[in-house]
Amino acid sequence: MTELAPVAVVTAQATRSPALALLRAVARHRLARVGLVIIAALILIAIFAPVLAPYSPTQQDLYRVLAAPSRLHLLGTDNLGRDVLTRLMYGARVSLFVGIVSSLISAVVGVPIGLISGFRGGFVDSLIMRITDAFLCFPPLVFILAMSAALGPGLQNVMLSFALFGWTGFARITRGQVLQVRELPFIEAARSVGVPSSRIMFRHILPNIAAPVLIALTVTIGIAILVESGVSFLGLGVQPPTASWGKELRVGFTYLAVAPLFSIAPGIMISLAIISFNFVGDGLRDALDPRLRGANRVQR
Amino acid sequence: MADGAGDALLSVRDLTVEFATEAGIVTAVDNVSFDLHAGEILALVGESGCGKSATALALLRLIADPPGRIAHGEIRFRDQDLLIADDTAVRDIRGNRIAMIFQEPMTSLNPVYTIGRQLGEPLQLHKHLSGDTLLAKCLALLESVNIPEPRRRIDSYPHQFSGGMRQRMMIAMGMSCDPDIVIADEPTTALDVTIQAQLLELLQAQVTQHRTALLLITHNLGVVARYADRVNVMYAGRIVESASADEIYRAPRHPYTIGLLKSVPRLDQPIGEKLLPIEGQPPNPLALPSGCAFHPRCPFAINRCRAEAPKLMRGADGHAVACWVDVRG
Amino acid sequence: MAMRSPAGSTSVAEPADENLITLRGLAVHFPVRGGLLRRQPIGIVHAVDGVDLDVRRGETLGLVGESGCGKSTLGRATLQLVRPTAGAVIFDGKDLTKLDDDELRPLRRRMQMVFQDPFSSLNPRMTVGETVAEPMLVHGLAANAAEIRDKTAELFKTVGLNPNMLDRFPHEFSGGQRQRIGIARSLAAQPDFIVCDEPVSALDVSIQAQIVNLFEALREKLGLTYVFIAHDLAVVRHLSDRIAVMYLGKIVEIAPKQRLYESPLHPYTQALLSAVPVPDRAIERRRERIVLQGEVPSPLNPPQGCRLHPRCAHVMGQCRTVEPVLQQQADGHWVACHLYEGQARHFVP
Repeated sequence: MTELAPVAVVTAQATRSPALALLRAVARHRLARVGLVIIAALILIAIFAPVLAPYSPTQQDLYRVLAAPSRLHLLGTDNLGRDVLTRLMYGARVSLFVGIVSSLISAVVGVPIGLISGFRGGFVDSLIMRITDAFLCFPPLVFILAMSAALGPGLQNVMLSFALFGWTGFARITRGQVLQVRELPFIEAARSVGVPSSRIMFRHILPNIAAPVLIALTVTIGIAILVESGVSFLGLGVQPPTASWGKELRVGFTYLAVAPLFSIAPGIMISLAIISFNFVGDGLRDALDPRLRGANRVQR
Repeated sequence: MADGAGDALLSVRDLTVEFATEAGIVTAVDNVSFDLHAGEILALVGESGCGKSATALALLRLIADPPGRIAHGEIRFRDQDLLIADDTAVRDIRGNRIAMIFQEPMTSLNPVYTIGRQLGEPLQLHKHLSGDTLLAKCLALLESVNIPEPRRRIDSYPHQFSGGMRQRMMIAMGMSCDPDIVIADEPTTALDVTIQAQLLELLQAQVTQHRTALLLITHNLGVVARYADRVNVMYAGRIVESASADEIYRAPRHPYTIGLLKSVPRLDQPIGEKLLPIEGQPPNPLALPSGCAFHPRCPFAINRCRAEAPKLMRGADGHAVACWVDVRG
Repeated sequence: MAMRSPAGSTSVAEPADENLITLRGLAVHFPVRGGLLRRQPIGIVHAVDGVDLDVRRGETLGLVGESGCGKSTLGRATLQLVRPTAGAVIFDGKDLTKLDDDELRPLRRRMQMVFQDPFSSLNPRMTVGETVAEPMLVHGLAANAAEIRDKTAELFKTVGLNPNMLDRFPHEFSGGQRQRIGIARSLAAQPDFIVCDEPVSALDVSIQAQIVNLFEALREKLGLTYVFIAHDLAVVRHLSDRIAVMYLGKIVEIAPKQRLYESPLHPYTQALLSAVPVPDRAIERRRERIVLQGEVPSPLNPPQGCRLHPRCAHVMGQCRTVEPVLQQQADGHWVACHLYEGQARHFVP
């Protein structure tokens, strides 16, 4: 037995879990912090809408239809006398829910497909990529509208339509990342140890490509919110009396001259949500830039 | 700290280079002083992170600022202090009077320009050659580094050359303006052993022929033994030993040099003899040990080593060491 | 009187075969695809082009050569990380090339690899403990989590690392330490055979010696069989019992350590040895320098006849047309060179 002295760890700042380190790194990015705060606020508002909202979203005050902002109605009322602020809060539930869930479904479907495609290569890869290409031939919004029209109105169908298209983006990104990571020595090392392919894909490759996928997710949520707005705007999404930002934007459009806030308020919320998700995505991207992590590298 | 041996072509005094990193300031080069004389081959030896490459880049003011910074020092070349000279003067010297050959032939050549064009660039800039004279000179240069079929090759692109050929072309480029000094930064590390031999023979022949001084930066002690006249050993940004090549191999005095020589596997070692590694790890530049940076790994360390960093002291025989302990004792 | 194949075993299988690994006619060719649809091969890289080799149990076989000679590919092909285009890889009596992935998996336990780059051969998102424990998990070598942890800690100690660092991530370690982790991983499944692919090339000089010593100690302690791939002849000299020299996909010389360094026969081996400088001034002054002219040819288009002939100082007529085969010149010393033909002595077993 060799008498080797236990070797000490050489590092300036030993960060333990890469996940925690990532969160810290993102939080360092000023805009991302803002984004995180806003998203947290929006989610809280959505969750606690029944508690926070001054009125019920269907409560009508027929004496104050299309009213200007006042102490009673902070943002005024809509064309049926309902409180805009309340409907905005309840609308957050729908829009955020649809945005996040649609994106998650897309990811859950697209990422494994991309993983298998990239890892297997060959015929399977070509087949999947050609299918993806077929989907991508359609302009996204047209596709989703067509799907929505075919499936009929309603929230679930909006989410389904989005996911039916959205998975392609995740599949592509994942596949691209897999192609890069697949060639790295530690993957070959895992193979040499005898690790089965499934474990390699999910235990070795996936954690190492999580980063770009996460960034894609944040961007996709923003897009999903926008898409829901568009679909609801066109009347194919949520149905009355449910409120969603997109629907309010649409209905309020007709009354822009009389009660501008009816339309503008939801519009601002949509923009705010999308920008916030994008900021968080920016923060993630910067945090994951390997050059910026140079200080943690230990010299040979 | 003059090295004796007549007038120095290049004189470096107290050169200090710092880099700002996320975790603090790293002193990559710490008060390094040495001389380089015409026609000699001086080797700067050390492992990764010891500061030898940073020293070389600093000589030509190629340190990226930020994040790097030449904190202080003096680099005297032909009555000029390169550190305070203006940009025009420095550019005039780069490639012309002092040439540099980099480590990675793959990335030091521009992939979108032909070999001929890149080879001719220093000649155009510094010697104002053009047209047929330029072409003739380029062809002659390619021949001098044994690149076959120079007429055909001059219009090739870097990716059509092998690693060895690219490096030879770098040598040709370096020698093109007949410089006084050539700095070769690990010129053969990325190459195979037989190609390395070819290249170093070529480099040695060139510098002998033109009486150029060569500053050879490497971590390979064998290469140093074969080609160098004098050797400076670096550790953690400082020169810890400086002597003629004969002396360094015959009677090394710094514990790091001794340890290094003992730990390198050699072809002439008796078979079965064990390697004697230097214990411990290379120092963390952000958290250098107190006093002498080598003391945690040094078998000769005494208390003073922990407290005070020794200065490089030159003996009467020209052999300089930075160590509190006299290992000969 | 049987014509022995490189390394002393006859081609007829002996009982209690002294060879752990036997390579016969091993070839690994990579097609280079070109054309509009990138379907037609426009060339073939002959990475390994017909290699016969035996590795005896318990020995360390050094495999040296420069970039492009195929030594890494040979190592990978032996472990079936790259599937050979032709030939047989016989591991303890079984031909690995005939097994599919599922059949191969249990055998993988017995043959492992140590990789060259300490920075990218460890999964950055797994703790080093998890990385080292994975072979045990995959092959069911431990009953529960506690046992895995204990065994992992033991392995850490064996390679000279502090077992308290099991839960750290690779980026928190230095290059030399990461290489130790890689070695620990290769030992986790208690293999018989380890292919070491240039394990010290990427390390600092002063750390190389530490790792070389570690390999030696482990070999003695665990009775392993190694194939040690390197381009540095000085490093290989320390660890190997026999050394095989490769050039452009073929083995050109193979000999016991002492003989190879004292009397290298093949011109390429001689040039290779001459090109390695010795850190000793006095010796360097006296040494003869053999410099091989020209470039290493591309493995897409190896020269006809003897592959070294365009660069060889001793080239003769037949070198350009006839490819030399490995012939035994002395006990265990085989060379593929026309210079020595006719001098080959046949050994009576």
